[in-house]
Amino acid sequence: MLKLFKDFAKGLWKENPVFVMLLGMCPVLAVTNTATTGLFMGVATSFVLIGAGIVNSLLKNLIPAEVRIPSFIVIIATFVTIVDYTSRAFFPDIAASLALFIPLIIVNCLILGRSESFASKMPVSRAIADAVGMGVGFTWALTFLGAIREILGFGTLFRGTEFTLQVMGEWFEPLSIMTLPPGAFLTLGVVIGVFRAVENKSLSLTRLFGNSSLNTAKEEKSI
Amino acid sequence: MAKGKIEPRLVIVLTIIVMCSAVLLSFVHQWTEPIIAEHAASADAEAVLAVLPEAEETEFVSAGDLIYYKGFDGAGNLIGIALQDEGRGYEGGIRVMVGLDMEDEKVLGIDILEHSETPGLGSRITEEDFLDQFVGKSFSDSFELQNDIDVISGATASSRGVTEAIKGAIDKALEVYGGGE
Repeated sequence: MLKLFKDFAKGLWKENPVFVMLLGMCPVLAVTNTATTGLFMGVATSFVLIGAGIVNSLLKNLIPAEVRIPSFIVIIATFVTIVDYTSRAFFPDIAASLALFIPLIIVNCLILGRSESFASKMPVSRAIADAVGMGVGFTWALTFLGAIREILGFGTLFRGTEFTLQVMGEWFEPLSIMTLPPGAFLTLGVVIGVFRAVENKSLSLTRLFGNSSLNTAKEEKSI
Repeated sequence: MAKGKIEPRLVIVLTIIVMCSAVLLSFVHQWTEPIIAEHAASADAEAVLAVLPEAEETEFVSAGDLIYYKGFDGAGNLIGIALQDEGRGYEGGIRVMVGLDMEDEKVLGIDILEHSETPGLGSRITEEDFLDQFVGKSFSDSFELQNDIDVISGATASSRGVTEAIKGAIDKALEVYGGGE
């Protein structure tokens, strides 16, 4: 059980796909201009990640090593197409604003990477724990980046939904660069910098006090 | 595996996976397609009313190659017509519904039906700030980018696509109504 929890928890922070592993950068940069699109993209990617993780883990003894990559791609593409159809049927507005980035989930290297390096070698339970953790880690990262960019670029939060919040007052002059691709690079760079600074701080603290989390900090460094 | 020789197992496994995928997807397609088509149809109907704000009744007209909608007010007077045209954006086609007052030769309203522009950048062509500038424009205006039309910064191609589509719709409408009807 502890093992499963570890498989789940590592995606949230220690091996966060966006801030630590820097995987799936294309959607991270392209669709985080609002918290809404970031959240939706994160959920859509998580669904594919979990679905492909389960199937690839179940079929791991059936698929010959020589054709595993094409098999993974077909399985991933199947789940992505399901997401594409259902999002266009049930969330037409958000689907329209994400447009071609939903089909592009197929080439998100996070999904193929987890299928190849984890799901295809592990039992289903661990594959699910890993996929859910990575999915949640990816989703919060995209939503977080989207929220920063949306607040600075539009002055709102969760635009285009019923839950739109006006964060900034009337005085606020939206920084349109934050909604453009350069805004994605700026935000991501600053957030990763802060992420690293926090990690280093906890590393030096554990050195000072020598507590047991030193081991995890060492593992982190070696990734 | 010997060079140049393909194990039949590889072919069989991959074929089975692809077939399962195809079967599954055809079910999902069958299930979602009518809903997606419904969205498109209701989006069209909504768009006609959106671009002819005063219209209460619409009538579908098919004249040769051209398909358009006539909009009437409560008393049955013709207010204007609505028709679609497509312009070329940055990523692909931009389908626009345009409402036109053929008597005063003015644009009554614009609605973007479909586009695949960059989210957050070109996709801002759907925002009212951009679209409202076309309302009330006369057919004889130049529709020149920068001078006559305010371009969305960072999305010139998308803005041009919309403008082209509107101009295209006006030209089509004038062909139908050419020589005064």
